[in-house]
Amino acid sequence: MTEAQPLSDLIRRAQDGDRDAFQEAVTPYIQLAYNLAFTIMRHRQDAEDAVQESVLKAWTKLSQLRDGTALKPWFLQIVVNECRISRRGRWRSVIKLPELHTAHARDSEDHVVQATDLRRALSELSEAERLVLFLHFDLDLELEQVGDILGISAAGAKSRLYRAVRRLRPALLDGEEPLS
Amino acid sequence: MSQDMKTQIRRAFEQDIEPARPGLAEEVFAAIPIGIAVAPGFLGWLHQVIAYVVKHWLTASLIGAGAVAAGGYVLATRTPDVALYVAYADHQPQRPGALPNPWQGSPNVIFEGAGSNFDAGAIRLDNRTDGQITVDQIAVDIGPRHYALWGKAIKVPAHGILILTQTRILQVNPFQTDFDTSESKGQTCTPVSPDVPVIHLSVNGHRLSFEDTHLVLTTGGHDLGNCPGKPSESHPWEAFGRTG
Repeated sequence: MTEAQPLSDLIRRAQDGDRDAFQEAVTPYIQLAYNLAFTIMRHRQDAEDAVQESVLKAWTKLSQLRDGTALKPWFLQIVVNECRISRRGRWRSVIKLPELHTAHARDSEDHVVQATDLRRALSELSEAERLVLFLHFDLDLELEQVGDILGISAAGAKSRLYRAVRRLRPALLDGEEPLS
Repeated sequence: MSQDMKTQIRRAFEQDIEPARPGLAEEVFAAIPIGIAVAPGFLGWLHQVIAYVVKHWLTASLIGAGAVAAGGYVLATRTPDVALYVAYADHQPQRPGALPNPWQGSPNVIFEGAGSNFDAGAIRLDNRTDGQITVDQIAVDIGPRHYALWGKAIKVPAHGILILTQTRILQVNPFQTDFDTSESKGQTCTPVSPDVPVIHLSVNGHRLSFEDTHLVLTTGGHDLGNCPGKPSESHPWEAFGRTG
C-alpha cells in the first residue's frame, strides 16, 4: 500500500467496536464498492449482495487494518475477493435480468454508437483486464494500489493495463497516444 | 495515455453500470447482525459471544462459527441455503383453479396466508439447511406497488417450507384479496406491463432480492383473469432463485 500514514481516529474507534465510526469511515466507499462489484459480477443483485458481504467482512476483519494501510484499497480488495468467492458458486440467482440496460438514452445517436462499441469492447475483455482498467481509470487508483488489490505487482498491473488498452484501442475514438 | 482516452473509458464503465438500489449504503450497515463485531479484546469478545449465543443460540448453531482472526475472535456468517419459488393461486367460486402443490396443510409447510379461496400470488421459500432459519423484512415491489403483508419474523425449521400469499380477502364478489398481484396494474388484459416483480427478504439477517423475470406473480404482466375467455390464473411453483 502506498499511504504510510497512521490509522485515523475514526478507524481506531471502529476497531474498538464503534459501529457508527465504522459506518462513517466506510460509507464513502460503498458506491465505489458497488461499481467495482458490478464490473465483476455484471448483475445488480449479485453486486449488491457482494457489497453487503464485503461490509460484513470488513467489520469482522477491521482489527487487521494496521498503520500504513489505507482503508479504501483495503476495503476494495475485500470486495474483489468477495466477488470472486461469490462467483465460485456460493450465490446464484437462476434467472438474470437482460444484460443490456436502457439508461443514458439522452446521449446523441452518434455518441451512443461509439459508446456501444466501447462498451462491447469492454465486455469482451477478460475480467482481469476490465478490473485493472476500472481500478486505474474509474477509481483513479495508482498502479501500486491496483496491484495490491488484485494481488499482483505494480509492474504486473501496468502490463495488464497496457494489454487491456491495446485491445480496446479499435473501439476508442481516433488520435490516441501510446500508453506511457 | 491521453486524458480523452481515460474519459472515454471511464464513461463507458459508467454507462455499463446499472444503478444500485436506493438506500444500499444504509442497508448494508443495518444488515450487520448482532453477533458480528470486531474483537475489542478477549473479555469484550467473551461478553459478546455469551450474549449472542444466549439470545440466538439456534441461529448461532447454524451459522456456526467462531473464527479466529489475528486481532481476536469473530463470529462469521454465510447466507443460508434457501430456494425460492413463485406461483399463482386462482381458486375461487367463479374460477376454482388448481392450487400450487405444496400448499396449506402439506407436510413441513408453514403457511402465512388466509382464506380457503385464493386469488393471489404466492412465494415459497425452502429451507435447505439442517437448522432453523429466520425470515424477515419480506416485501414485494411491482412497479410502484409495494406489498409488505407479512410484518413479522418467521422461523422456518430445518428443511421446512415457508409459503407466503394473501393475508386478507377484501371482497367476495368480485373476489379480491390483498395480494392480487395479477391486478397490480389494474383489472385489464392490455396493455401488458413489463414491470418485473422484485421480492425482498432477509434470511438470518442476510438481505436478499429476487426478480420474478418470468412474471409469474403478474400472470404474464396483465390481469389474465380479465382476458377473453377469463382463463384461470393458476400457475404451479416455478423455481427462480436459490442460494448455496
